Amino acid sequence: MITEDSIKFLAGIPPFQFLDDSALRSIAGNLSMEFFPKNALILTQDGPPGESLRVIKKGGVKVYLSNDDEIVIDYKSEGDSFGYLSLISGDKARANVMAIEDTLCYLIPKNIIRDIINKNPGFGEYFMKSFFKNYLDKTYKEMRSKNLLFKEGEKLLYTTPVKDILTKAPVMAGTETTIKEAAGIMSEERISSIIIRDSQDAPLGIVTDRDLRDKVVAQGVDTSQRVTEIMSKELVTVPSDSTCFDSLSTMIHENIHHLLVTDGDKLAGVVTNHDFMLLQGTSPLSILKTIDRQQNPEELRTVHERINQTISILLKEGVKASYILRIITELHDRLIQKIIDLSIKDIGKSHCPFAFFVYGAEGRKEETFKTVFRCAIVFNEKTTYCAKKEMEDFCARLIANLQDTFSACELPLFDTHPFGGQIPVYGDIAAWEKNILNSLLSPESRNVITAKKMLDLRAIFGDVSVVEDLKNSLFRKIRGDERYTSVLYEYASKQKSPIGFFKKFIVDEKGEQQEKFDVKKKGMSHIIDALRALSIAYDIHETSSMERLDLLHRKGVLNKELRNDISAGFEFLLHLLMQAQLEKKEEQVKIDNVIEPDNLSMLEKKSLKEVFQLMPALQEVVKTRFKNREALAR
Amino acid sequence: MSFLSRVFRHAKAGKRAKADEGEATNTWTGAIQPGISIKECPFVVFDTELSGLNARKDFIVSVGAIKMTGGTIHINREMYRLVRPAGEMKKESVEIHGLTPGELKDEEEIKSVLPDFLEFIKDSVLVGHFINIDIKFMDKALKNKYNYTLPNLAVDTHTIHEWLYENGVQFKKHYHGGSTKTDLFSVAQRYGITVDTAHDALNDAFVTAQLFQRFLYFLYADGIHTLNELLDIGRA
Repeated sequence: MITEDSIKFLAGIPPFQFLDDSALRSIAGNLSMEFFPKNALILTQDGPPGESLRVIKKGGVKVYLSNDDEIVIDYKSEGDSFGYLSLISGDKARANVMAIEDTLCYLIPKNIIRDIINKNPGFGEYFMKSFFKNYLDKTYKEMRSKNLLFKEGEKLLYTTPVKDILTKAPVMAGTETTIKEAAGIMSEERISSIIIRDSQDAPLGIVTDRDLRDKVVAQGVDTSQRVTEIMSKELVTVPSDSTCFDSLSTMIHENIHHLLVTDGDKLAGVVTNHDFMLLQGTSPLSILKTIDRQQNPEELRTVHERINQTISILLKEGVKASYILRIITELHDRLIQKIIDLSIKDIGKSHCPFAFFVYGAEGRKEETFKTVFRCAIVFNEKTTYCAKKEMEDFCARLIANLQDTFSACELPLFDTHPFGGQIPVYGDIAAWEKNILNSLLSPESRNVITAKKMLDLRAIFGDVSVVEDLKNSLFRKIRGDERYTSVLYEYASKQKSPIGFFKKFIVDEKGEQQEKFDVKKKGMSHIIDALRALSIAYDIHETSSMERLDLLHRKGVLNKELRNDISAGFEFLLHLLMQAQLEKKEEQVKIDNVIEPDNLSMLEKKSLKEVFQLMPALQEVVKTRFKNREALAR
Repeated sequence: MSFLSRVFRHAKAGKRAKADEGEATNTWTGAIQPGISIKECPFVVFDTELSGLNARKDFIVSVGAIKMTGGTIHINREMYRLVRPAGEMKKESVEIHGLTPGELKDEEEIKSVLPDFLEFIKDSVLVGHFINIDIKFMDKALKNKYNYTLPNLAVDTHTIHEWLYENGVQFKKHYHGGSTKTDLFSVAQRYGITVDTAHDALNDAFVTAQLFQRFLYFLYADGIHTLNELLDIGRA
């Protein structure tokens, strides 16, 4: 009974949960139990190395250093272990561990732990820095299995190999075929594309319905000409064992509707968007198609919800957050482009060069379930032959028109006054620069935060070079002025992440416990702020955190290990955020960035804690880069 | 009974037990001296379920025991045995421990459990809540079969609790007073021990062990470091 209870307890907590029954029994057979009342010191810093791994059965402890001041490193509660490192290394205990409640610990002797590690090499990694690499997959797997919200069929897109949805052998025609003949075959076979092959049966090109329409009928081309005249020679292929999801991603990325599936050197068939739609009602590509087709804004009404549904399905399938973001960004971009396009058709074009840019999460290509649309217009007064006044009138009308569309289509709120007050969401480069830089120095943190979001600006419509000019000028001014850099530096280097979890709470280094945790504010934004500051310092114009990370690594600012860790950590935070948002969406409560630690598994908590622990290393890079500036500021 | 007379009595009894056809091996060697530090002292916390409280007529129906070293409980070093009733079982007792004559009738007789019990406890200091009752019944069974009684030192968690309740400085500070009740479950719950509703001799021994574990911590904090000092406070 007592032994069985202990086995049951261990089987429910990482890393013991990954051990088989015989390993658990060998632990339980050698288990003992200790009691420590509140305030009892369990391990002493620089004390003798531990002889046992301790697993908290009940209660909680504080791990801290006591050099000059007391520095709390961690809080641990039921199911957490401590004493591993000193146990394995035989070194002195690294920190003090004190009970902060009456605490019962299971003790597992050193030799048993050694034995388990020998037989299960993954076991020890749980306690080490390598946890992240080795356990993140397990964490994701667990997250996925928690998600029992699946409907049958939703799975298919992401698990079915593309070869399974090929309906027939590819229909091919030789290079001698005329356009008319090709059209005849397509009509007869009821297919929307035909592959043109060379004498060795290797595909040379493809002709689709659209080619017949656009290149033949519309242009009045003689149909007795060879089909090779109109075929597209750029063939996009995927191997037949790719998943439907990957194939679809390729199609979206390449903006094509027909994709060649190859089996080794051979052409196995052609898949179309239609094939995927049969498989899946909510295909991202079908949403794109819907967006492209619409001629008036009301028809876009359902699109936003369909985008959200797509996120849900992708998430439930366990698709990586970064992949989902790629698709979502594409869809959101197209949606907003379409809306702008329709609005401009409505009010008439402008002769002046201007551009729309998105900013904040949208600018970083990191928007999840969208709640606010953040986009703005910038024009270049200096190079335009329009009067500034005229341009402002045009922008004002455009924004008003867009606003109408947003409310007519029940789209999320369009933030038309990001700086508050009377400052509009349009202006020339100089006006933007002034507003952003002034806000950066504003005593109101709300304004500073808006300004930071604006620094993640990304062109989305119109004359891209105008946005680039704005960005160039902004970044240069920031780099050249201590007042601006020090604001970015503060955010990038001094924010403190929580240190861990205690029962259902998240705890910071002061010991404050919170039942709720804002993933964005207390997690992602620390990474975002650090990468933004570094990117501006190194004149990197990319906005997404992942791209910034890669470029900073390539410039030698971040080493490979840190790059990989931060990338995995950021991805995990994103995943956690989206997962929580999905749950809220399905429960029809307001979508925000908050998660409740109580709802996290031990493994998720551990992963999250690892991410927190990455922050100091990243912030250290920021500090090194900005060191001289900080000295100047003093 | 004083310590010396107990040792004296059992030293004699031990010899006789050995002479008794070697059926029960006396595993007690007297190696545990009262001067030993509590932290190193082997304890066996044990509990019995009984057919009633009349030492003349009643008998043991189950035995549960768990080992400790100092304040550390050894989870897997436990013993739990059901015993074939040596007479008629009273209805009230069945209601307490939930063991019916039917389910016990195929269990071992007490005499085959006794050698295992002695082997399990060896020299350990025995611990129990109101342990005198358990010792009395155990002694009765041993005496019956082998004309032998337990020579082991023993402490009573109830007695220790009384002492802590009166004199335990750290104890009273920590728990802001103490339990005014005396039964195992009320006392255990008062000091934050999880008490399972299903109670059998082993579970009760485990609860007692956890209680003893807490007591030892606070005794130590008040300067009680050796077995001798512990015996002064909680001798059974």
